[in-house]
Amino acid sequence: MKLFITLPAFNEGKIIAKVLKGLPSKIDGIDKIQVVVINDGSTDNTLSELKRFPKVKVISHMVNRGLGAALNTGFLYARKNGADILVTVDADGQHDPRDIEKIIKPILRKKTDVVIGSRLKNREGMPWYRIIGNLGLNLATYLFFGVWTTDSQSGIRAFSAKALKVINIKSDRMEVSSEIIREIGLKKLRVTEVPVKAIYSKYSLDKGQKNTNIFNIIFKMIWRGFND
Amino acid sequence: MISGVKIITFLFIFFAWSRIAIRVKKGEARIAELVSWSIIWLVTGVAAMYPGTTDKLAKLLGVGRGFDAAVFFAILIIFYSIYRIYFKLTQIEKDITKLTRELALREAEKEE
Repeated sequence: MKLFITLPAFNEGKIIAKVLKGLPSKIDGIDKIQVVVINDGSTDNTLSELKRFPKVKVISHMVNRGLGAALNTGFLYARKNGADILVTVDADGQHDPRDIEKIIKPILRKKTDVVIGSRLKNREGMPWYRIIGNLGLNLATYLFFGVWTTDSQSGIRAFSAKALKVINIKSDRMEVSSEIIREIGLKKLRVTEVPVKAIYSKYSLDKGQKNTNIFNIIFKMIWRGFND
Repeated sequence: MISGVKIITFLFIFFAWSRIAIRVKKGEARIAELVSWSIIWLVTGVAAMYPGTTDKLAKLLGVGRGFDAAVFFAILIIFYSIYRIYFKLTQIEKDITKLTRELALREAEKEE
């Protein structure tokens, strides 16, 4: 079993080393763990920080193309290199690396195709405005794509080889999270939610999605509806 | 009598038309473009010179005055243009992403 842990990173120089150090190097049932960082056109010291980790595969976008574009590059790379499971993790340190083992379990047991690490099953530590913003996007995702999740915007997810093969990402920016949910629905994939811990530091809150971005994401969903 | 608004309109029409004419002369635009723009500016010129003609069109459309009809069409054209521009922009963005990704993956493969 080959596990790929993919982290899309844009200007995460301050924290990326800490995040990478925290990632598991051994997991039961996994023979090989390959960490892949998609450096999405960072203009800070992200790339030089990454050079300190020779085992980490770094794929660098020359210019910033957004979360969706970076995730898709990670998907393509994992597909090409025979990943059995792909895990996506945010590079801003908001996820607990111990949750990776938790979220791949249902796939290892062949019980599901996609696992979403839900920060909202256990809301502890999440600011109230984040809860409202997430609920709004969950609702919009449900209305447009017909799949209900408690955390449509979660960055920590696991995909089986089957899911990896059929999920087709087209969005370049933040709306990718809702698009993945849409793909799960369209391709009739089995999905499981596992509660995960969210670590809300000032850093991750500043880097994360803003509530004002919600309207932009919803607009993009409508636009996709008309132009696809 | 020719009013100030008419003079400004004509000057603007002449300026806009001359821009496209110059581009055609330089070979940067096609004759077809000059023809279509000439028709647009001619219609605008006639509408400015004889405002009564637009009133007839307005009656045909069922809107009050000729000016309203002009605004109606202008908004329609603007909306459509914005849609087209947004659509093209999305396409260009997609192309840039594709290029960026291809280069990144090639570079990554080279290192292996």
